[in-house]
Amino acid sequence: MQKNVLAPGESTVVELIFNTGIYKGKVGKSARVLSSDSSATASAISFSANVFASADTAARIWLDPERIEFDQKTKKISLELANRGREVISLEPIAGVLKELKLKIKDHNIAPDKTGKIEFEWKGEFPQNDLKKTITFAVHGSNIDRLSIPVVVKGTSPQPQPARATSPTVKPDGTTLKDAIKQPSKPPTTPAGK
Amino acid sequence: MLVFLSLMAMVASAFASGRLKIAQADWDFGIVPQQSTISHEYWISNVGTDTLRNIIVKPG
Repeated sequence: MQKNVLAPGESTVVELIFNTGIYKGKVGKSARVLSSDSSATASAISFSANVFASADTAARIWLDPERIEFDQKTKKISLELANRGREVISLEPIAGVLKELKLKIKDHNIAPDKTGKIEFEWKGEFPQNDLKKTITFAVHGSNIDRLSIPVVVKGTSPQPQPARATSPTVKPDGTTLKDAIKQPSKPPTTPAGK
Repeated sequence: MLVFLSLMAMVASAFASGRLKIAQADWDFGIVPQQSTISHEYWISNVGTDTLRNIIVKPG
């Protein structure tokens, strides 16, 4: 969330992010929105989704790839959408299209058992950190009302590597740190009379 | 007269308040693939006559 104080007429954006993981089927999540508006005690934002598995042979729509991932070497991706249903379907983007993303629906009407193509092209600069967004399409002519395609724009910053256990340090004389620890340390000697 | 105007100002400020409005509070992604991160942006507005404060979002 960008701001937690709004002047009259001001707006802000709250982004809900969800990782579908190994979920399968219908899922819904919500979040409560609290504020100084005492009349809006029950305000909430929510979403619903129907998570499909790649190996679901009963699915009426197949996507290849299932998600779009841009990096500095891959700025243009063509997605194939197979219509496994019985009706002609057409897609219309309704949310999530970024201004840096050029979207071209090559086949507006996809007949049953046919495949259509959607071209995605990243025209903008690459961010420092990964940018993850979702494009939602309305599906006309099918009982699948909508489908959403995750889009990732890989960042230019190297991702932090996980910490790894280091091997014992080897000194120039060939002793290892392990060997050095085994040697008993000599106590400091103090000069006599001081 | 001055007392009357002060009283009116107090009454007006008591009724002024921030009002929360959420455009499209519920979003349907439709079908989505596994092992993916999906996200949606919700617009929250103050349609009241005073500042809306302490806006926080809590899961669940």
